[in-house]
Amino acid sequence: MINSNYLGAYSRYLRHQRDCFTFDQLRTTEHVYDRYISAYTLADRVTVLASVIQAKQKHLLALAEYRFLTTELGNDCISMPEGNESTVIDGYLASHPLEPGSTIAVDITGFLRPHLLFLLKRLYEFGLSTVHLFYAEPKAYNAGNRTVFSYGRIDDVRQVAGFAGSHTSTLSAEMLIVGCGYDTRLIRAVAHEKLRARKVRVYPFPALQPHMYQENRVQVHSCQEDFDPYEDQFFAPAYDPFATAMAIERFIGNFPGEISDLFFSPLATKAQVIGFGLFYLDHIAAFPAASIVFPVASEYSKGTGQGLAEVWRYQFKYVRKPDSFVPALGK
Amino acid sequence: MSTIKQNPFRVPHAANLLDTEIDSYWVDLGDEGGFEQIFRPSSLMPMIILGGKGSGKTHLMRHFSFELQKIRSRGDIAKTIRDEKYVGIYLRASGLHASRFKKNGEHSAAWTNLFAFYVELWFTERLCAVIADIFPEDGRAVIDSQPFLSAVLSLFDWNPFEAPATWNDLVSGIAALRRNLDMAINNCFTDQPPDTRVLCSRGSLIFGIPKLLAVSIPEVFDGITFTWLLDEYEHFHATAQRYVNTLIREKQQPATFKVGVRLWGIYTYETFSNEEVLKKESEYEELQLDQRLRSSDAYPRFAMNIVRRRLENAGWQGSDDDVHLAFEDQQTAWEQSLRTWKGTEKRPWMEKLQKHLENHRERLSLGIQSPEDVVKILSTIQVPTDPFLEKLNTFLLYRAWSEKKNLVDAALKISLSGQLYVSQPKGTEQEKAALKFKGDLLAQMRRNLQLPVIYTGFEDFVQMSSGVARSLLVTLKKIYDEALYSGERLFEGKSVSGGAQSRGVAGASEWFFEDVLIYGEEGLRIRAAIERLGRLFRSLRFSEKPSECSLNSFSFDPNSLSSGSSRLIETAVRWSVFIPQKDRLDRNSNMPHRLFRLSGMLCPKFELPLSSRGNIALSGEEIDMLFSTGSNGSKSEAEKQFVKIIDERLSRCSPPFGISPQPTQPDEPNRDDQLELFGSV
Repeated sequence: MINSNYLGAYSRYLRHQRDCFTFDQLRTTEHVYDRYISAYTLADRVTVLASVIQAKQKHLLALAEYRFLTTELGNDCISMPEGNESTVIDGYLASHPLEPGSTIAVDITGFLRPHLLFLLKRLYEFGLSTVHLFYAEPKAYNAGNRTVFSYGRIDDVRQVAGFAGSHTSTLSAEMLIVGCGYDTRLIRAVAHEKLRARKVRVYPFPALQPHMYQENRVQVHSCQEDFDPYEDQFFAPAYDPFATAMAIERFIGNFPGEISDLFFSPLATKAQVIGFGLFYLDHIAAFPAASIVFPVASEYSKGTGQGLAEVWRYQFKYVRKPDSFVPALGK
Repeated sequence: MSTIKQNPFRVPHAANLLDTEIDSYWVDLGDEGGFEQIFRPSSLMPMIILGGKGSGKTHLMRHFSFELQKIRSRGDIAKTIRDEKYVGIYLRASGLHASRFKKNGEHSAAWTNLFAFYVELWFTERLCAVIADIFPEDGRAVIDSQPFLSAVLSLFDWNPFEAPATWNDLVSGIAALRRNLDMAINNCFTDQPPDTRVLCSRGSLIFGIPKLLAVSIPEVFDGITFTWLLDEYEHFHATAQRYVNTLIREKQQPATFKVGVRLWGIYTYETFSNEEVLKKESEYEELQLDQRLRSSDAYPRFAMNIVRRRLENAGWQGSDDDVHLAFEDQQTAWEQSLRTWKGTEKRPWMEKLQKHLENHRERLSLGIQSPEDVVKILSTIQVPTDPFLEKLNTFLLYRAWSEKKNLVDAALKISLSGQLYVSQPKGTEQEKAALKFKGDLLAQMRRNLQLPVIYTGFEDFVQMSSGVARSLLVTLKKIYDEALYSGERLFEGKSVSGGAQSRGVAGASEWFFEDVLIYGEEGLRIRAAIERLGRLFRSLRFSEKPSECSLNSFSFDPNSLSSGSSRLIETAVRWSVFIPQKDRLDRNSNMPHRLFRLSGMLCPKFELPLSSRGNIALSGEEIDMLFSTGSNGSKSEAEKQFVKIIDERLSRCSPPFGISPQPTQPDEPNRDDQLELFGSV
């Protein structure tokens, strides 16, 4: 099953760098970015991080799906219109263009996943060398494994803008790789959408906090019928996008030439979302029959985490233009 | 010895099965000429196959697909096509990602045109692959011929690509066209559609190529129907469905459509053809698959065959009796064990009765003068040697209480009748009560003894599945897992224990509840209604004097219903959570009522009976409350309203009977039945 040659291969994702800070360490950092972009939520980890990172411009995007009251928004907040992620992010970037060479800090913590992915795509095109991503960990989620992350309607499971591939109309060998977070409604919805696909679960492990892995497993167990056979799974650290991308790369490497259509649905941590997105952007040219799909809920919780744990900073070290090579793809 | 190595009921989604598995798991319906007669794959009349999730739509459609025809052909596919008189071209609507084309505003028409073009290419690509598969590489002279290839190309309004030299070139050309269209659409991030030329007209390829094949290659295709099998139609949004409806309406021989869709998945029957609606019977016929199976006498046989086929494919050989033995009904055995129960401690139902009598403030009106009278009542109706008879006696005493009778006298009468019941049961009050309430009282006894309610027996599982084969398979799968987990050996001549069966059933019920409703505002409301209805039924079933026996149904006067609730009930039916029953006259108002049963798969979640006898009539206002949720799907306010309804109804079935209790709060766990109200048991 395991392609041992591939396991030994060097991965591009080892080049990138991640660092972990406490909030106090960040407070003493003197680095000033040209721009700080964050998606505003009521969680301390988002608001405190916005206050400690230094930047000439700070833009806290208040996404419409959070349904903020006017009184909940601060001065740095920019109210975003409701709409598709491409419309929202492109709208923002059109009104606040990025200057070439400018240094940008992005707090990925509060972004909705489709918006985060589309922003990543735009930053990828902009050039990631001057971009730092930040992710603030909570100490716990509000109600443990019963924390509600999304509520309201789930109307559609759709391809994320900028992450839509060209799929075959044949009865193909589809694989769906789901980053399994706590929100089993979303997991179930995406599994229903891709009924025929071989479904693979990616568990965030190590988790942000040790107990979160337990909570996560308990939650996901409730939708085991949607992942039958239940054996396909692998692990990637909840806080590490690069290790996540590498884990995906290695897992797919186990199926050389066997996959005709590939679907991803990163529903766990935002750090993992970046890992999925990065992998996609690095490989889409070589394998166009791949998409990231997302079950869209009508509303999301405005703050789900409790306490301030660590903050991760992710830096990209592309030594050349991202190329595309995964042995399993390109059937 | 069992030769089964792994759970034979795994992979219940037909969509997940390989073509060979679809073939090997295929089971025909034993009546009315089987599925071929029902599905009529070669008939030119289009068909919409409606079915609940797991009802077998995909299995059915894939069975009639080219890939399965090929397996059945054993080498000579052309002969099979001629014999079967059709080619089934199977497509899954989910694969098209139609939501990409869903745009509102000024450009919506342009996006619909683009969708139409995409559909032509998407269908054609599949058909071309099928044709390539019919003709082996060394026998393609006819499809590789230039006149034929030119004729196919001429179906486009504009030349899409350079003249292909072979059929394979044509297939590659069409695939490249579609891929390019994909790229253009996927990289278009505004509402303005990409600047792409639409190269063909509506249906020119979908109908044109089959026509051309029939004319150009009559030795294979003359008189053959090209049946487009479009599955998972619910994945097409309303405009996309409207477009395909138009194709169905304007279909041209020798092509036709069979569309598979979930019960709730048709968003429109409109077409773009003069804005007209697709007409049932004249333009398409409808097959309601699970309803058809549910109402068929052949369903139990069909279900057994499905199960046996699964087992046989897993290497097991056995008979129907072996299956019945493995999943044996344990209720009767438990009932028997009650008869010989030697427990000397006071029975919980007697303790409860004692508490009720002692705490009742108006004891005098029931003829209870002193604490000794309470003891006398209890000692009169107790039957240490027969706990079930004792339970019947308590039920009859509660009934006498609800009728405000003198309970000391009533206890004496009940006791005398009970003595008669042992020797000559016919005509006794106990016999009449047992006839109606036996199942409910046994369930109460198990609960009183802190044992789970029993759901065992293969026949019960078939009944639970309500015509949806996958529900049956998931139930058996869960039972199999539970049995293995408890260290039981399956299919080795012994029954699976009652505990493992019941736990498996509970798991399946939970799965059904979680699985069936996740989308949309309506989903949230229907979920709320199921939970409330389940809790209401459970509260009544486990009350001291249930008003109805085997309660899992409700009725209402259709005229009393708001339009919103009416729509939600229809949706719940389409989701297979409410099963419509024959309409009835309400016994109080004598008005015609519509009657619905909660899906058998949901009954175990709420410890309800599988068989249905009694029902409760709900008012329009109560039904509105069933479905109500607050903003953001929150239920708290609506919940309080519904608790009032339960309290009111429960007060008629629990001591002191007819006196409404103080309003209860959701966080007040004092009353015994409060556990019922909040689903914490």
